[in-house]
Amino acid sequence: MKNRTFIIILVALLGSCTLPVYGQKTASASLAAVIEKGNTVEFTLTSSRPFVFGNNRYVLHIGDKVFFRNRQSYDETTLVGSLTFMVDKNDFNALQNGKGIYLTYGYAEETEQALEEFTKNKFPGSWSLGKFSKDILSK
Amino acid sequence: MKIILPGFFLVLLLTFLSVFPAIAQVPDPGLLGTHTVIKAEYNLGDTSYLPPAAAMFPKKMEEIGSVHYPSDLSSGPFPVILFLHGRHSTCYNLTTLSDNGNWPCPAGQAPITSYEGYDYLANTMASHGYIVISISANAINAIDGSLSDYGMNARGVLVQHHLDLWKGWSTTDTSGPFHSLFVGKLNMQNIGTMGHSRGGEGVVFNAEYNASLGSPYGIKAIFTLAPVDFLRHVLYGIPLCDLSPYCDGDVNDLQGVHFYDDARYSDTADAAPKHHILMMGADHDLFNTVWTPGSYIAGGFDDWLYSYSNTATWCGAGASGTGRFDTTVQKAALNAYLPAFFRVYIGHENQFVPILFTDSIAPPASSMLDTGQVYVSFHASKYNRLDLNRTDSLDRMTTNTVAGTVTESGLVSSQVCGNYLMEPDCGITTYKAMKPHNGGAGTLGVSMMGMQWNDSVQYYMNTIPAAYQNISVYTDINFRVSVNFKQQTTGPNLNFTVELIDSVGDSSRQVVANYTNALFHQPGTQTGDLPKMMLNTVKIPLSKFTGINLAKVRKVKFLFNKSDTGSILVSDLAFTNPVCGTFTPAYKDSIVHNTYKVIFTNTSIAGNGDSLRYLWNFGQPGSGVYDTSTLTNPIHTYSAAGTYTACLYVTSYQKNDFICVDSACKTIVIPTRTGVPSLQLPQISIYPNPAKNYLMVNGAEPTDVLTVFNLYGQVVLKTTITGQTLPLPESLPSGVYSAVITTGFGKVVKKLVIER
Repeated sequence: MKNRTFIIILVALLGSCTLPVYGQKTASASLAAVIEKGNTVEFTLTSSRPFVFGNNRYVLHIGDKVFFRNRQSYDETTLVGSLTFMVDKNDFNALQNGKGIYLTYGYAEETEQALEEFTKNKFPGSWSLGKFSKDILSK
Repeated sequence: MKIILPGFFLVLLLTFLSVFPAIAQVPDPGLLGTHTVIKAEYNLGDTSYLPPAAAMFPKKMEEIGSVHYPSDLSSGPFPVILFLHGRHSTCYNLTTLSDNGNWPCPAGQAPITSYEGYDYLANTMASHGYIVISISANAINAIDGSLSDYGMNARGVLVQHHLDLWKGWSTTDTSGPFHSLFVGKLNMQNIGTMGHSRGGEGVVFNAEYNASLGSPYGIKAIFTLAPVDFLRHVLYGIPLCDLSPYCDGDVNDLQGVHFYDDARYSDTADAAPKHHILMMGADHDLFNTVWTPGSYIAGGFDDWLYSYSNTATWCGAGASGTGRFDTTVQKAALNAYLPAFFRVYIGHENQFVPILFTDSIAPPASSMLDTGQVYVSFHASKYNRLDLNRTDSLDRMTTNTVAGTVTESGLVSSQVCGNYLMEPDCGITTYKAMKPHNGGAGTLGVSMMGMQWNDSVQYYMNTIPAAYQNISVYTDINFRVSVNFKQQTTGPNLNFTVELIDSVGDSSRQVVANYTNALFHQPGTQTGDLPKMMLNTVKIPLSKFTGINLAKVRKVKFLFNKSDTGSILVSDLAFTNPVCGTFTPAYKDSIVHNTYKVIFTNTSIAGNGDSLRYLWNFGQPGSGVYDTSTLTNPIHTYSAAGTYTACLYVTSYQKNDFICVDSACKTIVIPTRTGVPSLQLPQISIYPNPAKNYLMVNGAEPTDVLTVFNLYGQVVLKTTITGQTLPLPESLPSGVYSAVITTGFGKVVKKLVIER
């Protein structure tokens, strides 16, 4: 009974708590590291807020290529959310320099042109992360 | 006459009685039933299950779930419903209440019990006599982002594993958490599954996995709730209902509608009906109470706020004139429509068919919705449908599906569009989330007929070749339609006329707006998300088209004479008929001269390919269990002269997956016997005598009854003589008995000795 009372009080207080909020698509995101690990190249993106832990997919677009496999985390001490995409080394090598890099939540089927419009018009759920260069691997 | 039916006969009869008065007033599927419901939990461990290779999952999973069940299990086995939640935070910090994606939860953290978020649905279903299981899938959610299949195979395997657990707990495995409580209580051949979000694609994967194993479980219906459809598997052969929440801020492209769209025509053997529900004010998360902000300790969030403000047009809950459902309404809405689906396809309660097939577009009162807040679409079984124009290729602009000509006159534009490959995008030159049916880069969508008009004489017309002109065998004309918001940006609801023209030129018209609100301008202004173009079914009864010969209808015309200008998209133009096809219950009766014996001869006629089963009630309650029979052609012996009502209840197992019931009743007048019945008594003998473990009766009819009395005149055995050999219960001690065989001609008494 005590536990139940405790939970009810916590739920009641929830509205006034300031918690790290999952899922603000409007939060900023930036490319923090690109690291080669064996046959995989890992693109790590960070944000000042946790990335959405939802049902849609985060998609890393580089030109007309899309990458989905990722792992995500949130560091409660540094308040940094991380999203690390795993890109096959062969796919990485096939990417073309100068293509735009975008992160979206959903929108897997949009064209590069549409993504440019997204970020230009600051649509939520999309971030422009600059232009791709193979030299990025040294970052 | 009061008819008393025991056991499942009563259930069957009640089902029948509830089916046929249904059309006039549709019952409310969201109301609680008569069963008191108990909830129990099971937890075999956070990492107790190592899935097989088919799961493509590298870690151990939890075996955690809940079950809602009727407190009185005596009338089981009960049909089974299983829920699978979607992707959500898995743990929360006990101190900060922040949530995360760990699994298992480390010290200082506790699991988020997403599987408990559908308890309100489980309670409703269990109160109607279902056993409802909801399972936890947090281990999958914790790492599925790194998997190439997003954990879908693992979800399918996990569902199968829980079904395996429950098969054991309901049969031989009494070492589980419920011991013998559920033994014999779950019907594992009549199962419905519901998956929310990633769980939606998960239950589709489970159906495929179950089939790949030889279908050990009978999965009879699947409900996908705001699902993802990342991998575009197509479900065939199982009735499906997909629900799209218009204000979905998570899976905002409503991609789950592909489960409906993709399965319409691609498998010619598929006879399963499909349904789609569009809820105009629902978001993604509020269907689950654990995901609902304020109703659980951690992790709840209104997904609409992932992207937009609370005051955003239509979907912002705080906007002026908002269209958003509050949390109570959203759950009430699902709590009406999900039971309607499962109670039709799992419970065979056809009284809810009008909801699923849009005979009634008024939402059930318990849903708390008004017409215009919810739209139901259906794709009838191939056995209940004649496709006039599937609009599924560019050719359909000139030639329809039955090879009739297609013409238009004066339209501003007309085109087959939307599929993506070789087809234009219907003028909706905007983002994918705003046109969920359309194809996109690398994915196919729905081909639709786009039509824009600006004059009342403009029309679109399909001609019907002679071989298909008899549409009197169908009951409705229907199609899916949506306003093209890019070409028709503002204004009141659109409207037009459907006209049927017969072979002598007589015509009859019906105004579309009299049957639907689907021609609305889609709300919202969040470019990239809203408005969304969604197709919704319009269904018009053919009986409304009077003054023409429905046996020779030559043309179907859309006449755009009700709105000055407009632009619409149309798909799936078809004629449909009721889900319960034609079958005719009937019988003949013949009274054996000077007896009380009646020979019933079944003359029922099944629809083509359907199979019939029978339940007779002879209208003589005093004969107890012998008042009913499931034989095709039974013989019943009445105990006395009199007037009786004998009914034949016919259950038709139809090719379209529906189970339908109809009946035929007659008055049977049994005259008083004359003469000496004993002269007509058959020659009946019993042997061996003395008997030990069994008794053989020679010369009796299958409906005759053997009653054994001991020396005190007590009945120690009473049984119908269904075969020649009758086992004698071990409880009968050695001794002398009287064996009385009751026949239609009278009673034969034999001395019986039992020697053990």
